[in-house]
Amino acid sequence: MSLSRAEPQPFAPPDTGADNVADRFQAASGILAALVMLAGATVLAGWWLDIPSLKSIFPNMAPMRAATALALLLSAGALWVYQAPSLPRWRDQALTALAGVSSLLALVALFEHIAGVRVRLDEWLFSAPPDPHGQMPLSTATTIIFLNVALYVSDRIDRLLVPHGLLFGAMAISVVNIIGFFFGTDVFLGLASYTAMAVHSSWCLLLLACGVFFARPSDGFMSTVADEGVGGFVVRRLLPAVFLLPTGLAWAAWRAEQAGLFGSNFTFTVFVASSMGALAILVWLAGSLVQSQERRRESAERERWQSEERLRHAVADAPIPMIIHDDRQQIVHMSRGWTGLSGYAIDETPTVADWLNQAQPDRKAEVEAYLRRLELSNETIRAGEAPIQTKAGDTRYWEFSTTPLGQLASHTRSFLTMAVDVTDRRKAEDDLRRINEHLEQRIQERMHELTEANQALERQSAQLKEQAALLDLSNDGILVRDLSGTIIYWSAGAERMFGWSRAEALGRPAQAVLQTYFPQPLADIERQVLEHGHWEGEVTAMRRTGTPFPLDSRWTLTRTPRGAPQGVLEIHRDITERKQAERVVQLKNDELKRSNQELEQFAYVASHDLQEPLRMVSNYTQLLARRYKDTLDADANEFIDFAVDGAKRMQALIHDLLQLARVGTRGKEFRPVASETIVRDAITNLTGLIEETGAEIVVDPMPTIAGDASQLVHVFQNLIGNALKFRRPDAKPVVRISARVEEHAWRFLVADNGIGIEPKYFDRIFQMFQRLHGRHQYEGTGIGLALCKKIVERHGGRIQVESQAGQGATFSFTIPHGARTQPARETA
Amino acid sequence: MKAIEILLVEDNPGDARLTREALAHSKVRNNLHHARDGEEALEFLHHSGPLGAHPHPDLILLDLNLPRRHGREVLEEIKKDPALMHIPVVILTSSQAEEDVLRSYQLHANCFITKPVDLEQLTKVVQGIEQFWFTLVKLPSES
Repeated sequence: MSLSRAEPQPFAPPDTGADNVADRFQAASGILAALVMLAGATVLAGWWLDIPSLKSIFPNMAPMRAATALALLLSAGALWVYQAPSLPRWRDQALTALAGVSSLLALVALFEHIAGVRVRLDEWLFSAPPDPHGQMPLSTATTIIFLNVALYVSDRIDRLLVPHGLLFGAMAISVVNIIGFFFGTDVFLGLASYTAMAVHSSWCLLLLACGVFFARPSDGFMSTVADEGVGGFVVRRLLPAVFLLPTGLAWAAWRAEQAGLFGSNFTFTVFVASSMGALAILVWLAGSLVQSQERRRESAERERWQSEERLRHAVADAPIPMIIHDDRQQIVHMSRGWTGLSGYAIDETPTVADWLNQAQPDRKAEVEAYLRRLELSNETIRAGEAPIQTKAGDTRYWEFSTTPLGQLASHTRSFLTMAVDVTDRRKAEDDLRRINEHLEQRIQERMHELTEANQALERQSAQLKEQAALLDLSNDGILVRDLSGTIIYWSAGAERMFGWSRAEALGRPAQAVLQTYFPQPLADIERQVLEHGHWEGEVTAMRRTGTPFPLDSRWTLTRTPRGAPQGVLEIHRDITERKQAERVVQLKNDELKRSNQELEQFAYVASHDLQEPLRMVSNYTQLLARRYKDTLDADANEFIDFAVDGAKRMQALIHDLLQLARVGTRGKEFRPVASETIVRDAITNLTGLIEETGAEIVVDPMPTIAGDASQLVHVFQNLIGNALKFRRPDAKPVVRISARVEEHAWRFLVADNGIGIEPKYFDRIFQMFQRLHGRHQYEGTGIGLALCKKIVERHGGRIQVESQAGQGATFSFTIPHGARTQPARETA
Repeated sequence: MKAIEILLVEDNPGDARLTREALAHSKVRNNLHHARDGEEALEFLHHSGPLGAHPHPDLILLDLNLPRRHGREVLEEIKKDPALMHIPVVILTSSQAEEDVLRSYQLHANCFITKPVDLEQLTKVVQGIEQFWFTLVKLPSES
């Protein structure tokens, strides 16, 4: 029998309910405490109410003393507190108080016995009549102290020897008293009779001592008594017999002796013999009990071993991953599937820790926590999915679950851990997820594209609306038709121009609506639009009223965003008014040309037909004068001179007029010509006059220009001639001819030192027949400068004069560069 | 010395008279034939020559502005006719128009003279013609 405190079993099976032996002992402990409390309370009630039958519990017995009853009540209370494990914090204090008071009562009695004084606690407590014995017997007090000290120290010291020793002492005293009572002898004869313990007190104390033992069924020798195994079974069956058998046999022998059946010596003989027999039967019974228990155990063991073997086979051959491991984390069995999938054999990973190190290093802590949880549980635990590293280095996904299996033959708890390889499923899920994500992304992209396209369309639509509104503002007739010719857009301008409303025009063939007459075959136009994207020309179309009218028509090919021909945008402009204007201009031009021709004809005719009569007048007047000179007087000769002079001037006038008329109509094409040559020709034509006046003509370097040379000769000739004609009588005439380049033209200058012209006449001198001087002063037709002006203007230039009266004049005119060539740079 | 034959084609009798007057004082003996229009002038020319009623003229004084047939046509006709083309033709006209001058020379006129308004000058012109054509230059002899 071990008296050491039982350590808490780390893998103790969980409670299996009230059937448990230890629980039954504990429950018995409570019942015993309650019984003794009831007894104590009954006696106290008897003393309190003075009911003699209650005072003695059993009939015909001496009453229990009140102090004893109180001490028993308190002790039983202490036991009750002691055995009830579920009481709260005040349990320890309550136990100390109850045991303390109870012990105090016993100590008082002890003190009375030892000191020989009477405290008379009973009288004092219940005003009971003085008892001849009057006090708690010595053995009772001692036993009560033993009991309470045992209760007090039991949970406070580790060594169980003290409390158990005290309890055995208490039990021994009680049993001796009870047995003595049976045999009617005063056991403690040697001691004062008043110290003898009453039998009811002895029972109560015996029950209490048993109760203290029962309260801790796993402590000390009780662990054997309360053992679930064969030992406990035998002890529990034999102990009562050991107590009862000798007592019963002795009592029977004693009664027979008292009845005079046999003498006392024979009594002993009978007692010994019967005891031997009874004990022999008892021993045999015990042996037979142990034997049958042993057999049952062996057969269970074998069965367990067999089932374990079957399990091992089942596990080892299982194609799915499975291991069995015990509570020391040794891997006991490993399935073919486990090794096959992970690559690790059982000798490579003999423990769960080895497995974790190799295959699940990241999850070591997690799995160990989960295994610890498992140790306290009886349920299957699903650890869920986790990646494992195979020996080959791959990653697989296993879904673990672990089930406690109970004890193995080696008496360790075991666990079955199974795994479902979900790698493929997981892979499929991953693939699916990836596909889903991809799809999602595609959808998102597509949505984005669609949104953008939508926005672009909306923008385009808004733009188109704006454009359409703008197009409607145009007076041009704008229409869009598709390639088959059907009108798909018809502007407000088109409505006004053609007279067809938009509703009427849309959807109809353009040709049917417009009834256009084209200047070239329509097929050619269509081809040109398709090839070059554009066509324009003048066409004639029909208004709704049936009136044809001219149109300036521009066609542009429209294309789809991808560039395919889509339709044709036609912009029509009504050119009726322009056409009319053009016709008017044409008419006027024709008229003008005709009138010019007439004028020219007139001038030409004039040159012949006007001069002939003139010559007749002149020549015959002179012939008259010559032939009849002698017969005519001076007056007649003067008259003849006037007539001839008039005829001559008339001829000059006609000549100049004729030239003027011909500037525009008979002019030659402009050609590059050296202006110096022109000037030299003019000077040559004026040789007579120059010699006559003794003039000096200076010609600066002159450029090459584009112009009508013969006309320009007239200009210079006129200007130089004028310069000489209007010379100062007192000075030698000097004429300087020069040219300078300006932005758009050459400017030619003819400067003289003549009489000059007053600025107020500058405009007048260029008009026809405008003369500043009397005919008697300077000859002239009054046409020369008008002719110059006309010629210069025909060349696109301007003529002007700068002068002050008496200070000479500078006539200048411009000839635009036009098709000019480089001026001939003459080095002077 | 044989007299010079001159054909004057001139519709204006005044001008014709003046020319005749100017030639009357000539040192060279001459016979002046007068045609009043182009038709008449060509008629005269076609009936002249060794086989004709009269000889070819030695010089033709031709006005341009003529009735019936224009002087240019007459000129063109003369210069196309191998029998007549050698005869010098002097255009004697009142026109000063450059195109008339140019056109005449293009039709192989031998010279172009604008009739002066002044009688003195007219006389000089006629005498100049006479002197130039009959004393200065050598003309082909009649064969």
